[in-house]
Parts: sequence; structure tokens; C-alpha cells
Amino acid sequence: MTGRRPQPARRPAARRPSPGRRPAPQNKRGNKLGNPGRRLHAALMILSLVSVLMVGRLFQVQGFEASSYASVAQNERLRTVTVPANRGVILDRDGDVLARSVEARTVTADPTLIADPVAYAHLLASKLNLDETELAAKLGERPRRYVILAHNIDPEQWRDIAATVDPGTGKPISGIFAEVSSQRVYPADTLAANVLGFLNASGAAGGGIEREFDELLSGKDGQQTYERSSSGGKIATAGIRGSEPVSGQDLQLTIDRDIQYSAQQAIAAKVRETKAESGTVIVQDIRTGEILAMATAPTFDPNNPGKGSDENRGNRAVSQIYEPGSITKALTMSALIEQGVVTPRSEFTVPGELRRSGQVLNDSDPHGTERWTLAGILAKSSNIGTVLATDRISSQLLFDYLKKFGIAEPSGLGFPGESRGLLPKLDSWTGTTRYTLPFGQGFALNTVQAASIYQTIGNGGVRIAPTLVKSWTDKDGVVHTPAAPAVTPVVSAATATTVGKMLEQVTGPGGTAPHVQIAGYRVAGKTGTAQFADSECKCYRGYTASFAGFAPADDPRIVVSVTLQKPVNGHYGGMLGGPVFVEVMTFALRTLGIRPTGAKPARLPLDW
Amino acid sequence: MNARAARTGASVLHSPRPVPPRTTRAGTTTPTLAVVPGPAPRTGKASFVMLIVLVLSGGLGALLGINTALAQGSFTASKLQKQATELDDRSQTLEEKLARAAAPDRLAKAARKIGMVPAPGVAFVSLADGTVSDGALPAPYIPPPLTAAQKAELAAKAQLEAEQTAQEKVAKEARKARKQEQAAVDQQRLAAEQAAAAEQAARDQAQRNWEQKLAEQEKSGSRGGGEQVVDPPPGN
Repeated sequence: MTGRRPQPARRPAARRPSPGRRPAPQNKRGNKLGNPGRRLHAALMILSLVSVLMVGRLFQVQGFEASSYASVAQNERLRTVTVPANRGVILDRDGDVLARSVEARTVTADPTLIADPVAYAHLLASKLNLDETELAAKLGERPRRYVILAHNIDPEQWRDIAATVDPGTGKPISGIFAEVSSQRVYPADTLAANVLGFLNASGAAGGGIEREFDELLSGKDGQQTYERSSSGGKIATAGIRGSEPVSGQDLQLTIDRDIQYSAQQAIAAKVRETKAESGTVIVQDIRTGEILAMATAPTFDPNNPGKGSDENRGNRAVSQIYEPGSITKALTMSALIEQGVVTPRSEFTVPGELRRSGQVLNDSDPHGTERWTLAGILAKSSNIGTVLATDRISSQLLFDYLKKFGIAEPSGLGFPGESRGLLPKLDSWTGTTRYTLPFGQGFALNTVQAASIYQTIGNGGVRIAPTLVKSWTDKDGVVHTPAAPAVTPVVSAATATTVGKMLEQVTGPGGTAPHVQIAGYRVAGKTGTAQFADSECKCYRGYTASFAGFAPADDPRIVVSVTLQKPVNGHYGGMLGGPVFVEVMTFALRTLGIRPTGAKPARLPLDW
Repeated sequence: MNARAARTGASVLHSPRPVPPRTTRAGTTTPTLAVVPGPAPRTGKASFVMLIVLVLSGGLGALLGINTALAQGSFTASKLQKQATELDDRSQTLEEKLARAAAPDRLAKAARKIGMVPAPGVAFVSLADGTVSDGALPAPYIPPPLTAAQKAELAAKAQLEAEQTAQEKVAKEARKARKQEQAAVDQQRLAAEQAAAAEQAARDQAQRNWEQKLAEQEKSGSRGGGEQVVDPPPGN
């Protein structure tokens, strides 16, 4: 056993080192690092330190700062574009399109990418409807990198342009780009242009219905966010986020496009013929107050609003106010008969001139002392007779009736640029006001208000506020209708019928407008010839010739009100407005399929 | 190990290697037999690796396939999208054209072009008793639009007429000019004659004056030295 002792002492030296033998004195100093155990230990320490650092960094990147890094990375790839909402369509009462938006392209160019502007201009001028030299100049604006060449190019046209081959290189043209835009299109050009309004160059509503219902029509723009590759294309698998655009709502008007066309044609022709400054026609449904046509001449083309003048782009039917003249007498007669102070057969001795408040009143046609009935006074449009009859009611009553018939009251259309007219307050009446108001001088109204007087009489004395909008349809297809128009009883049905009969005398023998006849229908109406109060010279200059009335007189359905401002060739309302009235009324009766009653016109004695 | 133990069992004391005391049990002369466990099956390891490789390559393949399919689908989608856009644009353009053509004024113009006229009157058919109200009137005759040949003929005729008128006018002008010229000549001659007559009259008058003065001088007898006091009229 003893012989074995030194052996185990030697053995460990050959075998792996044991911790007990570490401080061996015989070892040299350099051998300390060479010690594999220490080496391993150090490596382990370093490794664990590195891994701790890495794990720490991992936590920092992935844990604490993960969201900010992710967003930076995302933003590198993400692109957000605005998706314009489709502007709503404007329809007529039968659903025919009056205005709508279509997709268009704005063609742009980067001149630095175009080697030969002249050759490009030659290629593209006809396709862009541009002048070749102008286009060449635009394409050659070298230091610039963005030039707009043309607006409102339709997508097919753009496809054609983009496919153009450059003959120099034999490749498709380069440096020409397109941006998606929206174009407002009015397919019937000038039809109802003054009612619809227009969009200006920047796409903002510039007037009319477009402006009044801009919020409803324009909808809400959406946004689209997508990830794009380095080449700029969308990454299909990455998904597309964003909000969908909310399309504008479709608006349906009460306008009938055929009647509108007829009215527009008739008034434009008459304005040309008489060299008038302007003219308007209103066609209104008596039973509902809906406006079937609102025509203005001269007009403009909303597809190209820049070419029209400011006056022509507005809607004179609501914005222009004028002294109506004799068409007011229907209102005066209604008031008198409603008050029971006269009947159509009341007898009046009408002198050739009448002195009131120090002023001499005349009739438009000089006459001696005549013996006319009330019906005769209206039929012959006698100012003096009207004043004599109005003497039987108080100023207060006269004022109240004017108000009730809607004079100087908002029409209810809410149309942009509407003028409600002028009516002097009772306490500011001068000596003559009381005598001139009954025959239409001393206050002002617009054509819609003039039509409204006759709508009231035609509708059994019940005034229904005019309306232009029938309904609108939201994105879910739900149809909304505007609040019902105000219904105001003004005079009794009996009074209205009586005045209707008196108005028939105007278009009969002995009246001021015997030529206003429509075969098969009874026509009630009134001529108006007033002096035009010119705001420039603050004097009377020129005339306002008008005609307003309704048919069939025995079952009123349609009101037509015609106004011509400052005609040069002729100035009598009956002569100028009458033919337009007949043309538009005939067309409207026919379009709406209103049967002729075939009844004989009512005849009242005009003199005694 | 057992074999080694058996070998060393005979000379334990002479063994150069120390035998651990635990192995003293092996010192028995009869060696024990036991089932030798076989080595772990090597084939199992290989198949596992194969499985992993298969799964991995299968996964890669599937991934590739799915990606290709996705890309393919994306290509098809974009192609169809493009086609849809084109068709959409086409439909928009056509709708646009239709709406423009259907506008009342263009419709009216087109109708007039093919010879249609607004009806002067309308009749109503009563569905209840089948009667037709009078009111319909025959449309006034409006000559049909001219054909190109007729238009050319008319134009030629108009041109001929215009030429004739022009010729006549030229001839008339010429006649007028000639007349004026003649008148001017006549006037000139007349003026010349008048001038001549006036000159003659003046000369006669002067002659008469001179003769008269001569007679007066002679009568008064103041004629001295044959001095000629009164000049004779200027040369004949």
C-alpha cells in the first residue's frame, strides 16, 4: 500500500488540473494565462457580457423603442393620398341629369425630361386642343420641373396621349404626366345655367344651387394609405388602409328640363328681337308652388363659366328687382274685392287725368272721361281707375295685402344673391305712395314674387311659397324632402275666382292683350309696362315690359311670368311679354298633358 | 469490461494497474453473462435529418408557391383592374355623349334637321270612351332639307345670277361714264362758245366806246396836233 502512495500524487499532474493544485509554486508566471480554466472563465465572462449587452439592446429596440422605430420604418413606405369625394348629381324633376361630376385628368409636364419641345408640341397639340407654339413654349420652360398643360382632359383622351409614340426614340413619350381630377359637367350647356350655378376654376361652388347646397352636394373627401415599394408601386399584399370618401348627395330639382328649354329659347329670342337689356321667365305649378322653369337671358355656359360676365352668371329672376307696374293691379283688385268694397261690375267715372297730392296721374293711353266698370279698369289697365277704386280701402289694408302677397318678403327659395325687393314702411309713405302703389310704382319685386301673386290668385287665394328643390338622396339611398313650403291663405276662393274672371277680360276683346290666346284654353293674365328705375342715374330710364298670368283660367294649373328689362324695340308689356307667355304656356300645357277644357271664356261688362 | 475483469482476475496482485476496490466482486472465477445492449440505431438519426430537410424544403417550396401565386394573383388583379378602369372610362365617355345628345336644344336641332316640326296642336284620346278630342292640326308645310346636289345647283344658279348682275352693273357703269364724259365735253364746248361770244361782245363794246369817244372829241374840237387822246381797243 505504501508503494502506491506516491503514485496518486504524480497522477493528478498528468490528469486534469484540480482546484487543489492551482497555487502550484513550480509554475511560471506566464503559465497563469495559459491556464485553460482561467481562459475558459474569461471567455465565458466576455460572452455573457456581450450577450447581456445584446439582450439589453434587443429589449431597448424591440421593447421600449419598438413603436417609434416601427413608425419610422412604416413612414418610409407609407403614402397617403386624398381620395376626392364624388360631387352629387343635380337632376331635373324627371331624373334627367342637369349637372354631374366626371373623372378627368390634369395633364402636366416636366420640361427637364423633354429633349425636343417642338417635336412634342407637334405631336400633342391637337390631342390637348392647344396651340402648337404655345405648347412648345410651355414644354421648353427648362429649369422648371412642373408645368400644367391642360385641365379637364377625359381619361380616354389621356390614354391616347400617354400611348403616343415619340418618333425620335420609337418609345412612348416621356415627361408628360397626368393627375386625377374631377370635372363638373353640364350636359345641356346653358340649360338652367343661372339656376344651377357653376364651379369655379378651383372647384369651389360659384353660385346658384351649387352654392346653396354645396355642403350636401360635395360630400366628404376620403384618404387612402398604402405601402409602396422602392419603385413606387403599391404593395398588393400589404393591405390598404384609410377612410372611404363619402359621396355627395344627389339633388333633384323641381325644374322640368323641356319647359326650361322652351322658356329659355323664347326669352332669348325676344331679348334679341327687342334689344332688351335682359329678360326672365318663371313657370310655376299653381297647385304645389314648384318652379318648373326659371329662365334668364342673356345667360352663360357653366361648362365654361370664365367666359360669362358676372351679371349673366347670376340669377336675375331672384336677384333683379324692379317696379312691376300694372301687373300689380291684380293684387289691388283682389284686396278690394276681398274687402267687399267693390264688385267687378262696380261703376266708375274715370277722367283723363287725376290730381292727387299735388301730382297729376295719367293713364298710359290718353282718354277723355270714360264710364268703366272695375273689370273694365283692369282690362284697360287704367291707373286712374285703380286709384279711384283703391280710395275705398285704408293705406294700412293696402300695405297688409301687399305683405300678404309676399312683396318684400323672402321668397323662401333661399337662393344665393336673392333680393327680396323693396316696400316702404307705412310710416314712411309720402303723399303719393298711397296712390302709386296700387298700380305698381313705388315698390320693387323680383320675377319670382311677381309669379307668386298670380299663383296665389290661381290657387284659390292660397299662396304657396315657391320651391326649387324636390328632394335629395343620401348615400344610403334614403330620399329626403325639404320642409313643406309655407302655405298662406291670402284671399278667399270666391275672390280669387272673381279676380281670375276679371283677368280673363284682359285677354279678351277690349283688353290690353287680346292677342294673348291659346286655342282651347282660357287664359287669365295681366300686362305690365313700367318705367325702369335706373340705379346709375337715379332716374327713370327705359321700361320694364311684363306679362304674368295663368291657364287654364277655369282650372288653373300653370303660372307664367315674363319680364323684359329696357327693351329698345317697343315697350308695351302686352306686345313684348304676351307672345313669350303664349309660347311658353302652350309648351308647358302640352308637356304636362293638361287637357283643354274647351269652355267659353267668361265675359264681364267693361263699361256702363 | 467484464472480459478485462476476467483476464485480470487470475493475477490481481501482479496487475500493473490498480484495480478499484469496487471491482473485487469480479474476482470470482465464474464470469457472469448478460445481454449486451446494442448500440443506438444509427438509421434513426439519418431519417430525422431527412425529415427536417424535407419539412424545411417543403415549407420553402410552399412559401415560394404561395408567394408566386400571390404575385400572380396580384398581376391578374392589376390587369383586370386596368381593364375595369378602361371600361369605366369608356362607359363614362359614352354616357357623357348620350347626355349631351339628349339635351333638349340638341334634340330640337336634330329633329329640325330631319324635317320634324313642332306640332301646331294636340289631340287627347279619352281612355274611358275612346273619343279623340279635336285639336290636332296638320303641320305647316316646311320644305325638306336640300340634298347636296340641289344645294350645289342652287349655289351655281345664284352665282350665275350674281355674275350677270355684276356684268350688267359694269355695263351700266360704263354707259354712265360715257354719258358723263359726253356731258363734260358738251359742257366744255358750250363754255368755250360762251367765252368766245363774250369776248366778241366785249370787243364790239370797246370798238363802240372808242368810236363814241372819238366822235365826242371831234364834236368838242379839242383834238390838237392830231394827238390821239383815246386809245384804240386792244388788238383785234
